[in-house]
Amino acid sequence: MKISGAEIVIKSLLHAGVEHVFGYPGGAIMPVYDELLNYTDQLEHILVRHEQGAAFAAEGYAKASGKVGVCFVTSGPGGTNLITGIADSMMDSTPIVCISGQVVSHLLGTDAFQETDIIDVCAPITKWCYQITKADEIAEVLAKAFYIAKSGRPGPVLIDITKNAQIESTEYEPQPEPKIRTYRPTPHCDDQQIDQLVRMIEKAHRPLILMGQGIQLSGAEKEFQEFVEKSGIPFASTLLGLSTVPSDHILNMGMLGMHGNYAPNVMTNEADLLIAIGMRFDDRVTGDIKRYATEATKVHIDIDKSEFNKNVAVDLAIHADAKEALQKLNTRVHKKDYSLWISEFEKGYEKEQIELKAHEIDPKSPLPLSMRKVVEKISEISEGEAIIVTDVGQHQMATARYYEFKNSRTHITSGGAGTMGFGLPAAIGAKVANRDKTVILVAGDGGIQMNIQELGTIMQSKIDVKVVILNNHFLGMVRQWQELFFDKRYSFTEIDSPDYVMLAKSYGLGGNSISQPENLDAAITEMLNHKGSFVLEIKVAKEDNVFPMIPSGASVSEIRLK
Amino acid sequence: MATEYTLSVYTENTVGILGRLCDIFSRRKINIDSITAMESETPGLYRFTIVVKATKSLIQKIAGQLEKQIDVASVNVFGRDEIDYKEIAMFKIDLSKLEEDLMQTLKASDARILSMDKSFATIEIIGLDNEIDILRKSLPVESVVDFVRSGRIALAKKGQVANLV
Repeated sequence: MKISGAEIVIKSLLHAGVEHVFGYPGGAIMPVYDELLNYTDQLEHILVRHEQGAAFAAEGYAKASGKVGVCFVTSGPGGTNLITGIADSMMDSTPIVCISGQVVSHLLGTDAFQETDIIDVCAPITKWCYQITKADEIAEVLAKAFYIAKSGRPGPVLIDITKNAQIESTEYEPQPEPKIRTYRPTPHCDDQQIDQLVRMIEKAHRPLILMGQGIQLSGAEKEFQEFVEKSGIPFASTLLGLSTVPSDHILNMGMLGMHGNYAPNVMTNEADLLIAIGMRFDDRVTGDIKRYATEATKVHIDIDKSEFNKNVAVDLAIHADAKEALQKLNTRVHKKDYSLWISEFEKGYEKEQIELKAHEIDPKSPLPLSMRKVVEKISEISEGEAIIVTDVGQHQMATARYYEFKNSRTHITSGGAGTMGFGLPAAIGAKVANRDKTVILVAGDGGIQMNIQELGTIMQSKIDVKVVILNNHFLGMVRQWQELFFDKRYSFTEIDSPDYVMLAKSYGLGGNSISQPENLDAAITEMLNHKGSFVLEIKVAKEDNVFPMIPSGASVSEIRLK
Repeated sequence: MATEYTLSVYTENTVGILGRLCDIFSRRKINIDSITAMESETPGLYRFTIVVKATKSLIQKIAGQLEKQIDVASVNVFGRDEIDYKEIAMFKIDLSKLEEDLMQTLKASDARILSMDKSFATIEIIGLDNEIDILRKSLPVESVVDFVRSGRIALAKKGQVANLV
C-alpha cells in the first residue's frame, strides 16, 4: 500500500525508536506536521519558541539519555536557526538528527521563498547531511541518519526533505540499520596494544588517568570504575567527563583544565604515565602544548583515530571503543599502591582550598553570596541526585567544580563550543528524557536571556524544570578577563535583567528572588518542592572571580590560585 | 617546512563530497595546487588525486580528517618520490608567430599534434610537471593563444587499494 513521504518520515522515526521530537512548523514541513497529528499517541512533539531552542532541546535530550535527539524545522530561517545548535553538537559529539523541510525540488537553486542551501551551510558542522528529493529515499536515508548519528563517535546529522518528497506517495518498507562500505565506526581493540599498556602501567610510579566524555558515550561507566579500583590509579576528569563516576570517589583527583582543580593540572607535568581515555586534549585542558605532560609516557585510547597526535604527540595510540578496551584491561591489571603519589594530589587540594578561602566574599557586603556557596547548597539539598544543566560562563565553572555528582549523565553542559543560551532549552530536553527525575538549570543572567523565550515552551508543555539564575549583573566570565587582562576596562559586560519573578509569573511559573545567605536553604527547598517549573533568581556578588585559572598561553603548571 | 604531497582519496560518488573534502583544506588555509577526480576501478567509487604543499604533521592530520568523512573510503598520502605521476596539457598555437619549425619543437618535447589548419595547431603533451613547463617556455609567448593543464594523476609505486568494509 502506498503512503505519503510525510507518513514515511513519521514511521521511520518510530522504527528508529524515537519517542520525542522538538520542533517548530512552517510552510516547507507542513505535510510532515499534518501526518504527525495521526501519531500523537506514539510520538510526542514539543513546540518550542525558537528553532535554536529545538536544536538545544534535542541536544539536552541526547546528553541526558544517550538516545538520539530529534528536531523538526521548516526551510530557510527554520534551518539556519539550527546552525548554532548543530555546531555545538558537533563539538561535543552529541547524537542528534535534525529534519528540515525544503522548498519543492524544481525550485531548488532559484532563491525561492524561504529557500536556503542548508546542506552546504551545515556540511562542515555535521557528521553527515543529505537532501531528500524523492519519497522513495526517505526510509533508507533516515535509517542511515540515525545509524550515523549514534555510532562510532556520535554527532549531528541534518536531513533536508523537499516538500514534494513529503507529498508524493510510495511503498514503505521499514529499513534495517544500513551497512556503509566507507564507514567503520567500531574499531577492534588490539590485544597486543593492551598488553603493552599493562607493561607500561607495571613500570610507572606516578600514573594518572585523564578521563573524558568518551567513557559515557561508550556506556563504559562501570568498566571505568572497575579499572580504576582494580589498578588503584588516580584519575582526573575533563569538563564533559564529570559525573561519569560519583564525584566523591576516593581516586577522583578532580577536574582538569582552565578552571579545574590545582593538583590534577600541576601533577600532569609530574606524572610519568598518562592514560587518556575518551578525551581529545582540548586546548582548555592542555594549556600551552609545548609545556604539557613533559615528563610522561602518554597513552591515548579513543574511538576516533584522527584524534591521535592531533594536539598532543603520544607514545601509544589505542584505537578502540572505551568499553572494549577497559574490559580487556580489567582482566589484566592488578592493584598497586600509589599512596605517596596520591598524597601529592591531596596536598595540592589543601593548598587550593586555603587560597580560595582567603578570597571569599566579605559576609558584610550587600551581596554576600558567592556562586560556590549557592552550588554547594544546591548539591547538598538535592543530595547530588539531580540532573544539573548549565549555561555558559562563571556559573558553569562553579557548578562543575562544586556540585557533587552521583550518577552518570547528570552534568549537561556546552563544552567544546561553550554556547551561551544552551541551558534553558537543553534543560527542557533533559527533563523530557527524564520526566521522573529532578532537573535543575543553573544559568547566569547573560545566558538565560539568550533563549528566555523557551519559558513559553515550559509553560505550554508543562515541563518541570527548576531554573536557578545566578545574577551578578555582568557577563561574568568576560568581566573576569577584563579585570585580569584588560585593566578592569569593562567594555559592555554590564548587563541589566528584567524582573525575573514577574517574568516567571507572567508565564504561569513559580518565582522567587533572594540575595542573602540566610534565605538560601528555604528558597532552594521551595523551588524543588514546587509542583511545576520554578524560577529562582539568586543575586550573587558582582565581581567574583573563578579560580584556579590557567591563563591563555600558560602551562598547566602555571595554574593561578588567585 | 612545507613540502609537496599527493593525496589519493577514494570516495562514494555523492553530490557534495567535493565540497566536504575542499573545506577540510580551506579550514586550515591550505590552497589546493591540483585536484582531479574520476571513476576508480571499484564500481561507484571515485578517486581524487589532490596535490598540496604542507608540513608532514599537518598533512597527517588532514588525512585523518578526510578519512573520517562518512563517504570517504580511504586516504593515502605520498611524497613525490613515492608515485608515478603524469599530467596532460594542450596548447593552441598561432603558427604565424612561431620562430622555430613546429615539428622540431614537438620532437624535442615528445608532444603530438591533435588538430591543425593553415593558421593554428592544437598540440598535446603528456609528461611530468617540469616537462610541460619546458615546452611552455620554449614556445614564444605570442604564439600560445590558449593553454590548459589537466592536473596530476598518480599511482603509488607500491600500489594501493580502496579499503572498503
